[in-house]
Amino acid sequence: MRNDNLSWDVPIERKFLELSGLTIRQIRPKRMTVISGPFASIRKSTGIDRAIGWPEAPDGEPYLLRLRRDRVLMVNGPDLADGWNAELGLAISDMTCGYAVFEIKGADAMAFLRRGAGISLRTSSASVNRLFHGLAAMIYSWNDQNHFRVHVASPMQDAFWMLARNLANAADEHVTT
Amino acid sequence: MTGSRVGSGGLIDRTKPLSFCFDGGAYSGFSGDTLASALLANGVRVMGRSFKYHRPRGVWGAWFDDPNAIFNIRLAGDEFPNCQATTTHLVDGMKARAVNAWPTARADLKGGLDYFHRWLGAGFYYKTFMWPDWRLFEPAIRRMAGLGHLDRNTVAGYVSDQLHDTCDVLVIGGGAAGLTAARACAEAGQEVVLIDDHPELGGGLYRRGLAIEGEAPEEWVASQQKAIRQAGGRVLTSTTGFGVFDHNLVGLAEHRGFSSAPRLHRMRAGRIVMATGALDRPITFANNDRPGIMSVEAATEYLGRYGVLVGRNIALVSNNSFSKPAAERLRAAGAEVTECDATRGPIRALGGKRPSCVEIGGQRYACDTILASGGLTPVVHLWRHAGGKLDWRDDLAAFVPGNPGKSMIAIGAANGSFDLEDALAEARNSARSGSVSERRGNYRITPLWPKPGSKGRQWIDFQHDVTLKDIEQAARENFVSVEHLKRYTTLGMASDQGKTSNMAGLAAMAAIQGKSIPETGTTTFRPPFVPVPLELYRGHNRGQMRNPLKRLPLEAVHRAAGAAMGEYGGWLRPGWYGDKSEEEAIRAESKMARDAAGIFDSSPLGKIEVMGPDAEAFVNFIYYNTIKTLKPGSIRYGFMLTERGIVYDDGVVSRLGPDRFVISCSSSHVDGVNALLEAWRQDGNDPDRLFVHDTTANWATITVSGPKAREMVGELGTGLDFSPESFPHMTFREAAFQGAPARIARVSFTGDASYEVAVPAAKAETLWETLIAAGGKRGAGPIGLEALSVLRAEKGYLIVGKDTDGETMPHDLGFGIPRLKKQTEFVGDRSLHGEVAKLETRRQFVGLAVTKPSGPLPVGAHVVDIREGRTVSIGIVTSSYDSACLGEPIALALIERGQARVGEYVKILHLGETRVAQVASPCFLDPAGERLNA
Amino acid sequence: MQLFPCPFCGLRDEREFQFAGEVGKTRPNTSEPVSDADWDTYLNTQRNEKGAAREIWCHLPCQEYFVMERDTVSMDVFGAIALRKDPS
Repeated sequence: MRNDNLSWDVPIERKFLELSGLTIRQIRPKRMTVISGPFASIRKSTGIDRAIGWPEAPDGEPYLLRLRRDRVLMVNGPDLADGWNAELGLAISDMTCGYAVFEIKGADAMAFLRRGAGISLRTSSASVNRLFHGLAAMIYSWNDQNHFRVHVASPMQDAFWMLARNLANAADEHVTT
Repeated sequence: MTGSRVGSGGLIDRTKPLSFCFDGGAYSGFSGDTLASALLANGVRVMGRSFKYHRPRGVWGAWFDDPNAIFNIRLAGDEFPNCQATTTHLVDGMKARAVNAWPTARADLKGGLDYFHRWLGAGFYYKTFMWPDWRLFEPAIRRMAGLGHLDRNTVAGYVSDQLHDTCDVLVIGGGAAGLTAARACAEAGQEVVLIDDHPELGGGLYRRGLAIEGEAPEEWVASQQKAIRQAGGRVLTSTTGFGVFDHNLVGLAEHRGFSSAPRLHRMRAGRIVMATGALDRPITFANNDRPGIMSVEAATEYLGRYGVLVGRNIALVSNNSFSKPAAERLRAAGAEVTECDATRGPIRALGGKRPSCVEIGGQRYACDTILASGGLTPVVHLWRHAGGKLDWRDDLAAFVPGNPGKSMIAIGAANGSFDLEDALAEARNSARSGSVSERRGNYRITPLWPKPGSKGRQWIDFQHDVTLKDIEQAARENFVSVEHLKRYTTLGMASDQGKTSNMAGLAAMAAIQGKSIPETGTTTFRPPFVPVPLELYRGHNRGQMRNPLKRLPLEAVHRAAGAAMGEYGGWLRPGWYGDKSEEEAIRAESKMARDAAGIFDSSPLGKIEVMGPDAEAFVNFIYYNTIKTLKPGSIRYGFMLTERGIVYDDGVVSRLGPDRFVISCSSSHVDGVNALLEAWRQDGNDPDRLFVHDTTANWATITVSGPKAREMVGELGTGLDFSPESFPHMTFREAAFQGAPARIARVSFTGDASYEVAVPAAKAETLWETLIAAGGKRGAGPIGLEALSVLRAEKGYLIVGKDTDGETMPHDLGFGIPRLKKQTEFVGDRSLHGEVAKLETRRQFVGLAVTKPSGPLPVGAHVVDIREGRTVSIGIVTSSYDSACLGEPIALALIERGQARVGEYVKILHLGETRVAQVASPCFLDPAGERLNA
Repeated sequence: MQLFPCPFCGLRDEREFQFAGEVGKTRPNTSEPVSDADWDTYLNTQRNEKGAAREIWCHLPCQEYFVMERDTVSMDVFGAIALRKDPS
């Protein structure tokens, strides 16, 4: 086999970049939990009323992201036991280490997102899951304008970061007439 | 006299002179010039040589319709091949060279080829140059083919920005019609984007040179743009709509400067308004390819946009009424213009590198320039991309857009509405869906098409040197459909893609066949509309982003420990550690693992949880092996098959509870297994009673394997009893490691007692350090995947996809019992009893002991037999290593009737060399499993 | 790039989808005897329709399998039908 050390960039520890119209940085929620099952049961076990899609923003923390018809990601929610909850019919898995989360902020934030997906504030979607430049990602709004969050699977966070740096520079220099 | 710059006029900026070189000569032009307009202004006529005959050529057109002037351009040390002179704007310092000509376009050494034109007709390379062997001539012919020269240095920073965009209305073309339509739609409240491929909008208004709606063209254009922007519309200049794709997606290439890659806009439009205009088409006559013969439209474009008068003594040959205003415009600029009726008789151009006169029906007209117009052809390419049909209009002698494609309309000249008033009416109407009332239609044309059998060399496709005689030849040889005509003659296959040649070509074939033009039809129009650089499609899909690998939580630790990282199953993982050579490292690591212990990062191993009341039945159906009897706390090895009975994955299943299983499939298959499980879950099962969670990314797993492994995991502080009686092989325990949940599975891929410790990835580093410290005291340390591969092979543990192929079934691997005994349904069950599954000649998994100690067998070598005098392959070597622990090479293979051959000697053939090996059990080490169960 | 309708997520780029088979393929009950011909039909026979087709597709981001009705010649998409009810 080959030694490919030099073919792959050393992962960057502190993922932070700031341009004139765009800031992207990694943030670390305390807990993330994948919960599958009927939404009424999810509501009951988590105490959270709604799960958001695109381009909605959560009401605060903890919050639920709608991933599928029968699955949510709970962020910074209560510590639920892993496994099968027979009473409520819920499958629960801790995924705190499973996703890397990034904050995207600034006037060029949408221009950045549009370089990875055919995404628009005018076209809503029930799920926050989509493909961003080929990478599986959750994309949703945060509580003010031009402010978004992205989750990617942890093993792909370095690929996402490399991509983000390239796309951010392109988004930053593009002026729409 | 040839071309010259007129004193004033044009959109060029005369306060910004620019210098450039062409074919070694120094010239100057102005900001706003194209290379073609600047050269014409300098009196340069010959700008290229044709592809086959190397005939001198000048520009025919003024924009994308020119097939002749193609340059290689150097600028600031970068070289760009095959730039079209008419669409490349001048930049100070450009050094241009005509392609396909040496040393210059004016004096090309290969110009003599034209004398041999009788032997170089369509398809000549299939007829001449065949004897004695066509391969003698092929290299020379290939060297002469092609255009331009490719500089192998990459251009720094040449990356396409690619983005997705949407709008309600996309207006393609910023001429009078496009600007009016964009304004109307924007003011009607629609979200509009207007694009035009020129840096300055206005289209044909500058050719016309007259006021529009009371304003001079430049002022009127500025007013429309301002109104569009004020109404919220966007305008993209220097942007080409190069293709319309499914569901109203339009590809836009936004030009960003000569040395920069264009930006790709993937524009999803609610509606498309095609305002792409129309082109003057050539007239087919003898010597119609000479320099100094241009389209009427080109002459007025050079004058209107660039302030260049293409000639002083012009013969204007036309069959339509739109040429008259052009003649007047040119006269007003100072040229003598003789208007000639093209329909009066056979036409012939006389002169060499510049015309001396044109002869029509026997009458000669002296001139230095011939302008020809055979009529207007609407630019309908994008219409056809979108699936729209074309209608033939006898009154226009042209194809116009017919039944619309999806959500698309055409307006203005592109729609056959050549009069400005008609075009503007249609444009204003485009904001609503009403149709236009009576068209004025002042355009008059007498159709003039190529006459088969007429005298002289008459060009149809200028760039590819296809003449009327070539079309006659194609017809004689029965290549009569337009698609065959195109490929046989190469008509329409040049970089201009037939913009000036398609109509004449199909009209000629129609005349030969005695059919009408609409009956003959057109060839398929395909994107891109103009050549675009491949980089436009690549963007950031390059280098490490081309196929990004998954990265381990402990990558930094591995690198710091001197790991040689490599790709394994879609992950970047340590192959081996340290400064030694790969071979030495593998030997040292595998010995250490058997003598003391090896520590390796097995985080990519899948951890897919299957939960719910139906989980047991589900997992039992998915797996070949019986899983429902698995008890909580236990682990079972099993295969997942495809419905064809082929082994898709092997892995272990752990049962955490009555309703909870964890599938630990092979690292490279996790996404595939997850998809397979989800598909079966939703197909034929009640999804409310069954859930599949891929939690692989959440966990880091470190495996300790070897005689000292038990002691080492005992130092983790889990409080577990690791004695073999309490913690036997193929069981697992849940515990805590430093406050975090930990699962420790006693599973082995090496044949030694082995513990897989899984913790949340945040604890990975601490776990690793603890185990390294525990190992350091005992002569144990990290091992990489290369050593691991040898260890598992010594034990005969297979790797799916390496030791199995697309035909391998479980009973080939020695796992035949479920096939005969499992009572419940499972994926692939029926396939295991088909004809193929029962063949006695199936290839079975075995080991190979190498008889002559001359090194390991080559992987992929064939195991061969002689049958009826012929050497046939009866198997393949699938894995092969030099085993440090066993002191000899070992190999694994798939061999016909392998299990019955154990003990036999077989021949191995590889690249002409023959070796001999003895078929053996795949397990070379500790068959009784004492080390495994220790 | 086409736009396909996921019954849950709505209209998305075709690159988010994967073809999963033709509608109507039922797995024979293998706990009963199944003839070679029937098993072969199940594995290998495709209608391969020119024009209107009913197909199973998977939307990868949410992994929902659903029926899509479309035209394989014109590329028109007529609609999507969810295979399961909303569990809420």
